[in-house]
Order: sequence, then structure tokens, then C-alpha cells
Amino acid sequence: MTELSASAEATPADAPVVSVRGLKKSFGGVEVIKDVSFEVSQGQVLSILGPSGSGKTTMLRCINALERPDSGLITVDGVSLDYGKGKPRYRDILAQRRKTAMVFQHYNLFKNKTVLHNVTEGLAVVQRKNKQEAEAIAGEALEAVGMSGLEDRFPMHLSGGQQQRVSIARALALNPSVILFDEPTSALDPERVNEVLRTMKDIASRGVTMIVVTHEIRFARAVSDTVIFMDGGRIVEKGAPDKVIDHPQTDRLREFLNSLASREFE
Amino acid sequence: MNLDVDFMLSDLPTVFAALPSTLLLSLDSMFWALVFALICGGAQLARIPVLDKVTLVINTFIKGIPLVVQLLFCYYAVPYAVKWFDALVGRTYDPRHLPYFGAAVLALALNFGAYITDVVISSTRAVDRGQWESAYACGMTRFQALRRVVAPQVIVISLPNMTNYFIWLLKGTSLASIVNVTEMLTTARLSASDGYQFLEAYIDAAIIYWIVCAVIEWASGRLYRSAGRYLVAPNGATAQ
Amino acid sequence: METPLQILSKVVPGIISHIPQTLLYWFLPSVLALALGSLLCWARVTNRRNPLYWICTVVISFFRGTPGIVQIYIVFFGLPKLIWAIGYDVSDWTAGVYFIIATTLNLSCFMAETLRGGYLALDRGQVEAGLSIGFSRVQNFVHVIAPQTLKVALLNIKNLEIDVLKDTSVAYTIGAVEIMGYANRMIALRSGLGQLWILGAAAVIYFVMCAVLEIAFNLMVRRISRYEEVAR
Repeated sequence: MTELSASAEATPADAPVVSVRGLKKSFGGVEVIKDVSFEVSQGQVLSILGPSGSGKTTMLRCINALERPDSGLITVDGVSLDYGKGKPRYRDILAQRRKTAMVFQHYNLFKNKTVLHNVTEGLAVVQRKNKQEAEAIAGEALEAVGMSGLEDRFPMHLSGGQQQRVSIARALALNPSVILFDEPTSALDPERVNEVLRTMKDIASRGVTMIVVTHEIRFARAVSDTVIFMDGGRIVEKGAPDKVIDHPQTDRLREFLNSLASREFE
Repeated sequence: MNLDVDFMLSDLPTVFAALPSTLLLSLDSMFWALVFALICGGAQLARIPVLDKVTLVINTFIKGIPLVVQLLFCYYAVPYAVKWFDALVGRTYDPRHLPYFGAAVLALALNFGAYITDVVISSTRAVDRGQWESAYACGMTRFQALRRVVAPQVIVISLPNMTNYFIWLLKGTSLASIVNVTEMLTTARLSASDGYQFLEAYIDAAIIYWIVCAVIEWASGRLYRSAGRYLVAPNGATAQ
Repeated sequence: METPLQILSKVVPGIISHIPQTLLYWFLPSVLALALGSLLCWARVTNRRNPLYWICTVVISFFRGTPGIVQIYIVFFGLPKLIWAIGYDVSDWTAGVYFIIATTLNLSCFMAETLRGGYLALDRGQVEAGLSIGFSRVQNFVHVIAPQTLKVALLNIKNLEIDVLKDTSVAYTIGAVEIMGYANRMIALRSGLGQLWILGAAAVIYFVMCAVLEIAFNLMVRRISRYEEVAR
């Protein structure tokens, strides 16, 4: 059964920033990802759609090694981890994590640190920047997400939308090769979803490479360069957003698109 | 009922003067108990093979033995331990300066360490998995994540339980009076033995313990509310 | 010079023969404290203008804020004087009675707080359901409130009971004889490492008793939870 739909994929001129080949993962005997491969080029936005249980979140988490695949080759900006050849070294895992940054569904801001320190933490501890430099970068990142002025607040005292934007600033400040978004708006109240989606659109327009797992179809259609539809652990359709979303080739994708209630974006 | 109130008033300062030794014994024991608990808790949390089962067995055993038995055991073991150690190091054995205080600290530290291990483990597990994950996603090592993000939260979360055990430990130091250690109860008993006013002396001691425990509980509550303010959203919710 | 085995063979039977004494010092206070603790708990959940609430709060604070051994001494020296003031002479009471009284008072205060925790965690919907099907206040208490409170409090009660069992080892300080009283007597008769062996034997026996108690309580908790499943 072919995984790819008939639409054409973009052929990158340079080497891809993210490359996933032959990814397989099982949880307790159940195969959750059944041989997935794709690539993302510099500056591109890839959206991944699919019903729950399709394996899309697990796959995203394999890219920064929060989940360990059973087999597959994952390359991020030159750092390769080949899971088919036994357990990768911790040093390599760290190296790959330092090329990526993640925005979580439940924000996962460091509860015991202020907004500013949440953003500077990675810069200071991992990238060993000094305090001034870290705070300058953090300031810029917070401004980019529209959260300047709230540096001294603690995460628990912010709304979900504000927390998520700080989370995006934290990822941005690290200047990673790719930012991974794991259903970033699924835990938000409906009124807050737009502020985060707008922020993400801004980020995308700055040329940041992004992989976004989301249910927001309209966002995916408006902002992505490539859309992947996953179901049952496989990529079922893949291609340019207007092709995949407006002209679904398979029944599964058609059912999925119909079942999602449309939501206003912009 | 004739209570010698004059004696009670005059004895109060005498008993109170022994409060520092009680506090010293408590803090010393609490420190070593924490060390013991961090080792055992760390072994079980990190699932270090062999060590995690061994510490679990040791703790289970300790929790099934009365503190009195542990104190007496350490007390009677002191001369032999010291003799063995002196022979090892080449010192002469001096039966007049035996470390009975240290023996009491050992017994108290092991006893409470076993209970505090559970607090360490449950408090660490109470920290949301997402805190670890986002630290890793930023590229932090396990140690960095622990030190900078998780451990500070564990300390705050464990504060109420730790206070309870510390108060329990403070009360437990009174049993050290059985094994030749000078603290408040020993002092109270000694001060009363001339005139047989034991009841009055013990009531004095009880009052001082009561006040000290109440103060510790109040202070800890204040500390928890201020340090833990980042754990609670303004509307009172603690979930994300 | 006795070998450890000789010491143990003499002392262990003696220790075991004192187990009933220890169990008595554990059982009586447990039962009495459940009753007294329930009363104190009730006083603590009534409204704050009731003077009983404040009296009980102070009493509970005292027994939880002072060491057990000090409470035992105060009861031992003070209770006779108190009763003497009313006109009775109790100089022929055995030390064990004072130990039981002191332990009961102490345990009641801890029980009260534990029960209160269980009561506050009660699902209000259950109480209302009981009233709505026509239970009187008493029936509602017996069939809805009490069992549910106990169920939640049971794990904490288990820990309290294990502590009571271990704290019987303090009784010998006022002359009430149980395992530790006997063990100490045996220790005084000997010198040398034999003392440590005797304490070790006592430790093992306490451990076994606590383990039995823990398993018994765990079974009880499981049985009560299972009843809940079936009832649904």
C-alpha cells in the first residue's frame, strides 16, 4: 500500500534540516508507528494532521529523543541518530536535543522560575551564555511573542495563552535548527487559541523551520509549506496544503476533515 | 490537688536552658536522616539495580522496630564500636568519654531517615513529568534538569511532610533521656529528684515542647505559603 | 561465657511469653481511642462557636505537641493526685493502667485528626443521597457517613496502630512489664555482646508483629474496597 498521495513534494535545493527514515515504534506490543519517512527543508513549515492514536505526537517526540524509536534514522542539522544500530550514545542524544526545541501541549514552563528565567535558562545552562547576553536574547524573543513587560511573573499566574507564548519564546531564544510544536493549542480555551496561532504565523514568516502537530486545519492550510496526514502509524497523504486539504485523495482523510468542526482563524 | 506552683515557675528556666541541646540533637539527627533518605530515595527513584531493593529492605526493617530498641541497641553497641575503632586507628580506649550523643543521633537518623525516604520519593514523583521533559527538550542533562528545575520544586512540595517528621523527631529526642544523653527531659528529671517534684518538672517540660512544636509548625506554614506561591494559580487551582 | 545461641534460647521464649502483655497494651488503647477519638472528631467538625470545639482543639494540640513519654510520666504522677483530690486512693493500681490511660488519651487525639481528614474528604453527594432516600440522621450516619469516613481514614489509622504497637516499648519506664521490660531485665543480668543479641531478638519480634499488623490492615483495606465494587 503506497503511503504517498499523488501530489508532488517540494524538492529541496540544499540538504534537509530534518530527515526521518524508516521510523518504527511500538508500545507494549502495539505498533504505533509503522515505518515513516519524510524530510523538512530549511525555513519550511510542516504540519502533521491525524486522528488521535495515529502516532503523530509519538513521532514528533522521536525527533528530539523524548521517545526512543525501535528503529529508524533521524537526522537533525547534521546530527544523526541511528536507532537500528542499538542504543545511541547519551552524548549524541544531547547533541540532537540541542539542535531542536519543543513547544508542548501543556506548555511545561518551569514552575519555579519567572518568565524571564524560563527563557534564559536554556541559554545560560546549556549554551553557557553570560547573563547579559542571555537576557538580551530573551528580551527579543519575548518581544517577538508579545510578552514583554511580564518578565517577573510566575507561569502559574499567567493565562494558558500567555504561558504558551512564553513557551514559544523559550524555544525561539535557543535558536534551534527546528522548533517542534506538539498540539500547541489543544489545551487552550477557545478565546486563547488565536493569539497563539497568530504568534506561530509570525514565527513562520521569519523563516524558522517548524514541524507542527495540530488539529487546526485552517492554520495548517494558511501557514504550512507541506502537510502530512497520518493514520494508524503511517503517512497516508502528503503534499502542498491546498492540495491535501482541499482535495483529499483517500476516504480516511476525507472523513477526518469532515469530522473536525471548523474554527475561525484570523 | 496540691501542685507546687512555685517550683514549677522556678524550674521553668532550668528546663528551658536545656532546649538548645534538644534542638541540637534534633537538627543533627534531621541532617543525617536527610542524607540517609536522599541516598535511599535516590536509589529507588533512579532504579539503581540492587541498591534500590537493598534500601527498601533496610527501611522496611527499620520501620518495624521501635525507636527505643534502636536507641538502646546503639547505646549498648557504643563501647564495642569505639574499642574496635580505637584498635583500628591506634588510640587508647577511654571509657569516660564515650560518644553516647553520637549513638543517639545514629539511632534517630536511621529511624527517621527510613520514613523521610518515602517523603523524598513521593515528593519527587509529584513533580509533573512535563517539567523534566521540557528541561530535556532544552538540551539539559539529567543532572541539570534535577538541580535547576526539579529539586527546587521537590523541596517546596515536601515541606509540610518534612515539618511533620521534624516535629516527630523533636519529640523523639525525649527518648534519648533513656540512653544517657542530656536534653530537656533528662534535665527536668534531674532538677526534680531532690524534692520529688517530678510532676511539676514534667509539666514544665511538656509546656516547653508544646510551644516549640507550635512555633515550628507556624513558621513552616508561613514558609510554605510564601515559597510555594508559584505553585498555585491566583484562583487557587494547582493544575496547569 | 555464653554463646549467642545459648542466650537466645533462654531469652526468646521469655520475650514471646510477654507478647500477650504487649498486645494488651496495644489493643485496649486502640479500642478506647476509637471511641474517644470519634467524640473529639465530632467536636472538631461542629461549628466554631461551640466552646467544645475550642476545648478539644487545645487538648488535641497538647497531646500532639508533646512527647509521648512526657505524657506517660504526667499521667503516672499526676492522675493519682487528681483522683486523690476527689477522695479515692489508687495507690494499688498497677503501672500498666496508667500506661493504657496515657496511650488512650494520646491516640484519641491522633485518631480525631485522622477521622476528621476522612470526614472532610467525604463526598457530600453520598450524604445527600442517603437523606433523600429517607434515612434518619442516625441511619445516615451508620450507613453512609461512618463507613465512608473509615474507608478514607483507614490507611492512616493503619500507620497509627503500628506506631501504638511500637510505642508499647516505652511502658517499662514506668514499670509496666511487657517485651522491653523483660528484655531490659535480661540485659541487666548480662554484660558483653549478649546484650546486643537480646535487643536484636526483641527487634525481630517487634518487626514480625508489625508486619502481621500491616498485612492484616492491607487485607482489610482491600476487602472494604472490594465490597464497594460489588455494591455498585
